[in-house]
Amino acid sequence: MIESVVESIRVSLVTNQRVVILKELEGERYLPIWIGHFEAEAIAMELQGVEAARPLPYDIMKTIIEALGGKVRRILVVGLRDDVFYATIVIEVAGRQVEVDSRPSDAIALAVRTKVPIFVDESVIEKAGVLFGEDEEEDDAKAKTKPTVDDEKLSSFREFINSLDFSDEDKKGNS
Amino acid sequence: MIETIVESVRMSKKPNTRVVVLKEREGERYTTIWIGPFEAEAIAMRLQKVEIARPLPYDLMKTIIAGVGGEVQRVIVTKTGDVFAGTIIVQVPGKELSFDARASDAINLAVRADAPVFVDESLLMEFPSPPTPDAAR
Repeated sequence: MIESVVESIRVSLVTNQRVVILKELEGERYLPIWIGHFEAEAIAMELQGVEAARPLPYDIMKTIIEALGGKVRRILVVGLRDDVFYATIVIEVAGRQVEVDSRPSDAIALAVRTKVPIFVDESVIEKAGVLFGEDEEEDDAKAKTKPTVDDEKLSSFREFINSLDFSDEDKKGNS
Repeated sequence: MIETIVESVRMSKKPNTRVVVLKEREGERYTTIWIGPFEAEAIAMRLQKVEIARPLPYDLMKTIIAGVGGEVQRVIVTKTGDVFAGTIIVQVPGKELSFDARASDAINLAVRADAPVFVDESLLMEFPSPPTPDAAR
């Protein structure tokens, strides 16, 4: 399991789709995961310190877990099958651990609120992880030093990622 | 407090807005609540028994509550001024706990947990014909 952090939420100008980008804590690989608008907004609001006027589902989950004596310990991105990512939320309650199946977007929205670490299974990063930077040349150089990443397979994906707009402006595009 | 059932989820002329219609369980009065499209879709999917590949936030919420030893007992929808609010009542051994929520989230959880939705009697209105979104205030 590779500990990761939420690097950013990005919006495709072409499709208006949202992507959450996880970055490994000790390394340079990134994991983009497609998520819905609602979930993207919920993650972004928490990271930006924006307080919702009314509690979102993730705020409610956190409040209920704590009120019932539980504590979210960590979330895990455990698998990737047929283009679908799978996650698990690990909750400790009354001395035992409860594992709950979740979409990664919901798990991440809860993780940023409970300030718990996000772990990604190595196999998921191997399958879907990418290396990308602001400088494409630098990016290529990095890719070559990481033999586990098949550069050819990723090139179209990288092209796509680089075509995404990273500014905050495009958040207004949500219509 | 009067028990209601979710009668329908409807579109409205207003963009990005849906209406959830609650109907008195033992009577003919209704109330209408404006909610967002995401939350409306989630209610409709449950009412239409649409099989979903992955859990929605409300399915997750239900699983989490059960996982930490609680049970959704009922939800309550209230209105203060123009704003609707929800309260989720969770039963744990020996007591009931209340949690503040948006009305749409509370209703979504209720339909998944098969828990009743209660509203204040003052919110219920009689309609000459089944309510249309235009009748919503």
